[in-house]
Amino acid sequence: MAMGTNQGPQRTNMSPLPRDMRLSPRCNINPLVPSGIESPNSSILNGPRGMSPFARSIHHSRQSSVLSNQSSSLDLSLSSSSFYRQGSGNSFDNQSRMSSIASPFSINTTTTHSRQSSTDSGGAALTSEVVGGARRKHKANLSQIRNSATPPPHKLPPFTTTNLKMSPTSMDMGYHTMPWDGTDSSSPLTSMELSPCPTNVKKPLPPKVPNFYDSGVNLDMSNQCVEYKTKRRPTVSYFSWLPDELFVRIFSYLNTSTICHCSRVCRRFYFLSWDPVLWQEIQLSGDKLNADLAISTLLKLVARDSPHMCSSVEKISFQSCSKLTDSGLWAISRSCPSLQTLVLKSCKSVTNAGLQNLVSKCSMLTHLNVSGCSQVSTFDVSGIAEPSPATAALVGVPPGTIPSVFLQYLDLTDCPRITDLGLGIILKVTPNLQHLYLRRCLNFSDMGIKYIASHCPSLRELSISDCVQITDFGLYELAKLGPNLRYLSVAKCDQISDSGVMQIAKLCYKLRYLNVRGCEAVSDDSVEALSRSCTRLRSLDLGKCDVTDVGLKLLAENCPGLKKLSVKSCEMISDQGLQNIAYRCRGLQQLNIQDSPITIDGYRMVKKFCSKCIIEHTNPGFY
Amino acid sequence: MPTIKLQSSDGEVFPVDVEIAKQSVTIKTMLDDLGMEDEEEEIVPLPNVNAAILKKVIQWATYHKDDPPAPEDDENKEKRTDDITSWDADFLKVDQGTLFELILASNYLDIKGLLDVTCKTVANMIKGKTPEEIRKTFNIKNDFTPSEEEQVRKENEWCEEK
Repeated sequence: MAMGTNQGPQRTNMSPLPRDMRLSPRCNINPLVPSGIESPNSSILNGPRGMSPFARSIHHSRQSSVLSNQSSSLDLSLSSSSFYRQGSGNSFDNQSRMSSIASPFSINTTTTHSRQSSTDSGGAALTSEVVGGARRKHKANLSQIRNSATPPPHKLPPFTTTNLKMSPTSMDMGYHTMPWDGTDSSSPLTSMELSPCPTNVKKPLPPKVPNFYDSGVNLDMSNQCVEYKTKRRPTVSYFSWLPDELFVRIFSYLNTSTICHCSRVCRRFYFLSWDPVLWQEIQLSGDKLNADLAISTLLKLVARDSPHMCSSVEKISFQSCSKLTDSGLWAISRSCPSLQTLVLKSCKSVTNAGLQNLVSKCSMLTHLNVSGCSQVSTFDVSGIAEPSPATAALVGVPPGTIPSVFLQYLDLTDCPRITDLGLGIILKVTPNLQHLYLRRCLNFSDMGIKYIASHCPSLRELSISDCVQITDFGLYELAKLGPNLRYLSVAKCDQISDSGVMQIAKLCYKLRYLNVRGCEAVSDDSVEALSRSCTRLRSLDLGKCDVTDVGLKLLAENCPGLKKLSVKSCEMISDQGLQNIAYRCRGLQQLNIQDSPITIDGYRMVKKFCSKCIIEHTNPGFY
Repeated sequence: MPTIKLQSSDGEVFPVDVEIAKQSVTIKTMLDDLGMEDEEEEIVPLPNVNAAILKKVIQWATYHKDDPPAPEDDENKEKRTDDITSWDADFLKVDQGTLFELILASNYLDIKGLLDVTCKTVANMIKGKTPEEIRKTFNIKNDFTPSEEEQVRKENEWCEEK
């Protein structure tokens, strides 16, 4: 966790190493490397297509750069050895090695590898360490910044394990380990290297290095040497080519649990996995998931840049997390001030208290879905403080005198404990509500509808399907919403009849979507009122209603914009009525004629006039 | 139709319809800035793209030349990876090296559609795999120390309880 909190600001510096560019000067002074010697990677390191991503980006701006095979192979030999064997917690800055190239150690290294490559001594571990080199650069950048207070000398000390200080890796995961302590004057950092991303590749030429082919330097590092062979099979990960932003772009297509898997792959993956950019949305699901632990762990990791706050998180969704409790919600309300959308589908352990706390703390919340949270009956946020002027301005509401939340979308589907009173308490503080869904809230009646009409004047969408207690009185109340209402579903509210629907049709004349499926008392009278008043109707479900061809004809004549129509189980319609629809509503996209007396003629008629229409039917003879 | 000549890093020159080449925002901006005349036989050097990859990119751009302009990044749009068309899927049946080079090339040339579809393809290669499988697939070395690995494993404990 400690690593988490320290990484953020430097993140952008962590592009892969400009290996080729930095190290290429060596080839100028080592002309004797036989050009026939090619590292296993030379095919990919060679030339622009083979450059490390960072070097490529440099190449963009400096097209004159030409890299030779030699530089590639030399570069490889250096970065691959990279003191790596000293333990992954130790990081040296490749650049500093570069500037102090005369140190005996680096000579040794190069010599070792050149010889090894010429003898083709096999072993594939090397190239994968090139990747490691890129990551070590990350660490080095950070450590440079951290230790910038100590003006370092320009010479690299002789490399021994004794002058390395092992950092407690359990603490910091290695990203900002610094192998020497701050007081150690032998720190090899130079002030030049404090700009962590050397986009300017002009480095001072290193001092002349003795020709290592003739030098006969004794190799005392033989036990640390990495073997490699010149097989063509590439052993470098192509991921090392990608700069961080492309890496994150790929990760952005992954969901929460996949990103968590990725974080365990290697250090670079780990570091990039917790990039806040990736964590605008958190999705968790599963009955067995310990959702409380999951969300608190995730929020801690995501909050690495700004302790305790995950301001990037805007959407959190839980799907059937029955182990999610109020303490999980508590964690969210503490650390997600920017939360806009919360989805809690079938989270059966969530209670009113947790919800209440969250809704009052997350003042940006506009979208709340608690469908299937069977314990929820209400949440009372009337006690919350007034919204701060800043918040109010942000949401576009003048600093209100009444405390209110800015919920625009509320889904209470399948919350059987919701009562009229409970709903009233909720709606009192949600004057901005535009979408409300109360499907299968069986304890909800006409009284609750009254609260809806009086508290939520801007409601556009409402579904009370399967709320079997609703009657025409409720619809009369609802009609007071007027033209704001665009979407209404009263499916299977079988106590309603023409009288209620006609009132809705009369006052809510901008209705686009109406679902009266299963309301068997609804007849042609309703359809007539609808077609005369709601001419903008796009979608109408008349399943099992008492409609005839007369109704369909009126509908066809007045609502030419109809896109979806269902006359499922309407036993009194015939091909004639359907023909009217097909002829006039040419834009029809979906039609349901299941269990109706429509014959093949009607079916063909629709096919003829509405070529794009998808027809659902139950007649096996249709084709 | 006016053409433009694109030169790959290894010197090969490809004549391409300007309209096709303009799917690359990089090239489009360059052409707009320079105000190149149609008849001018200017060669555009692309030092970051080799001939093999440039050929693939041109093939992709030619097939997609009539695509509607890519919609602006919609914040609310769900990030899907299963909407790769079958042509693109076939087109991207290439070795990993080529795929990653296409990502870099499309990023450099700023061709959003190609960048999206290549990134999605890599994302699909990651999906549903354990960390070890991801390492194997992409040749990644596990460079965690044992204690780090233990800590990372602990952080992900909740993940395994499913």
